[in-house]
Amino acid sequence: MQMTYLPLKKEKSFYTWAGVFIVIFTGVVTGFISHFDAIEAIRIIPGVLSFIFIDFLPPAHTALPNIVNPLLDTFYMAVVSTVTAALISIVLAFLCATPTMPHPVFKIAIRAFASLLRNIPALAWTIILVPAFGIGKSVGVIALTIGSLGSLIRFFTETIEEIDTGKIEAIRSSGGSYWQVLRAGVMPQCTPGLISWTLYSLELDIRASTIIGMVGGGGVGFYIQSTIKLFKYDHAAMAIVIVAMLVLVIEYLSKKIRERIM
Amino acid sequence: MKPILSIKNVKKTYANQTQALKGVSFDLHEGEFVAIIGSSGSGKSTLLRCINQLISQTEGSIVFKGIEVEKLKGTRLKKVRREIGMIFQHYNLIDRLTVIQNVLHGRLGYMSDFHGIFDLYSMEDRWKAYSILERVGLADEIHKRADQLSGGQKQRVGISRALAQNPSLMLADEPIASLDPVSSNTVMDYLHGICMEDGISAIVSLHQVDYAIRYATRIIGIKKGLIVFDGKAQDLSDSVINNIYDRKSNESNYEESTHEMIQSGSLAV
Repeated sequence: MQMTYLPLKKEKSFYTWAGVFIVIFTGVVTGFISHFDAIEAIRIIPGVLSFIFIDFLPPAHTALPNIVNPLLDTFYMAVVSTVTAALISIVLAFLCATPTMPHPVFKIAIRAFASLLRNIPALAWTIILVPAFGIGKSVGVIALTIGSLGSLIRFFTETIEEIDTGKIEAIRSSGGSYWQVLRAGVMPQCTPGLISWTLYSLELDIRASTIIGMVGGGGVGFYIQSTIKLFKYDHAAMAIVIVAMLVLVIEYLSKKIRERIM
Repeated sequence: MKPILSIKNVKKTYANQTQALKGVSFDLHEGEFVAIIGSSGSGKSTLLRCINQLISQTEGSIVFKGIEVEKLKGTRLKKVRREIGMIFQHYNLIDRLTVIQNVLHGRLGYMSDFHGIFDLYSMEDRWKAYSILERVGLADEIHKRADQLSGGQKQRVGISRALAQNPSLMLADEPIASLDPVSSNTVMDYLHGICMEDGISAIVSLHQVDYAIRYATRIIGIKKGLIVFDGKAQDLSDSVINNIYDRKSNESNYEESTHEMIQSGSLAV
């Protein structure tokens, strides 16, 4: 029997070690540049905790009546923008996805468009749009729609591209036209995926619409922002708790619906 | 007699320079049940897909009922396709739809876009679909979702969908390659029986030589994009089979004897 040393992996190459060194080096350098002070970060923990426990807690349940309306506004904003974005995205995704695109030019153009929308965060869209439309819900809805549009076009396109093309072939071979292939072969295969992504986008939009509210998009975010400015931290805390609950409920429901349709 | 399908010197080179067909010619007459045998990548699937123009050949002509199919587009191509039924190795049913909905897809070629998009199948078509399913022994399963069926049942739905087209030619691309021997027999019995009864000509590509011998009126052997055998089952000698599958004779004997053992074992069940 051969008893020389038998390694389990190939020896780590120079590049592996160079990679490890670069990661550590970059971490240290960026820490210095951004004045990150680990000791300071640990030292202020008690202050932060006391601020949270004394100023924020307990949440003021008396604030509840004032929260209901902004919260509903946030919810409506999220729903309207998700639905709008989903409807536009379906059309664009069919034009963009490889199995259904009428011409490759659509694919390039729509992908570029979606990527442009996606890479500017909804928060930035709000800040850009507030000067044009003024503070309020309509700005929030437009910003959220643009944001969801960017990601939904991509998710929908990928869903359509994942379908089994053999099934499309079967409908084509029976003499189906482009629209019939779309309806009989493509749609039944990708509908669950499209619904699932729309629900996921709704979850994201509810969270995003709260943040957007803080920079002028209306809704519960605006409420949180205003109460903090008035030092009514316990009111803000109540709103945050309620938003978290809403997000949990929506997540739970969307998970249940997705389980049913898949 | 005039052939129903006439294939002349068909060549297909894919974009990646693969030469799938290097000049294939044969005529198919009414009532023939032709088995195409050949190893994977020999060009069987490409040939079948050229016939209904799911793939267009690079060269050569395919004449179906006097029409050159490679010259057709749009509505006229649809009209030819609806006369050619096709069944697939992986069945290609729409999983989330019911059995009868899948069969009705075979009627799309006869419907307007509007009727197709809104699922407006006529009662006549629905009952036609039902009677086809009755014929393949699936009358009790019409409202089941396609993904709840066994492989053999799925392929019978595939046959039904093709029959719903009222085809005069049936193309079957490895119809039993994913099935166990018992289901394979059932599927081949239905496919062969119905084609014979209704006078539908058929081209069936098969992996298993024994099935080809059992069912086909004529066997075509394809190797690397060329026809290397075209004749009756009794003329298919061992040396011809070995040539088609590029095997040495001792290798093939071993494989065939094991195959026979498996076959007889399963039939005894």
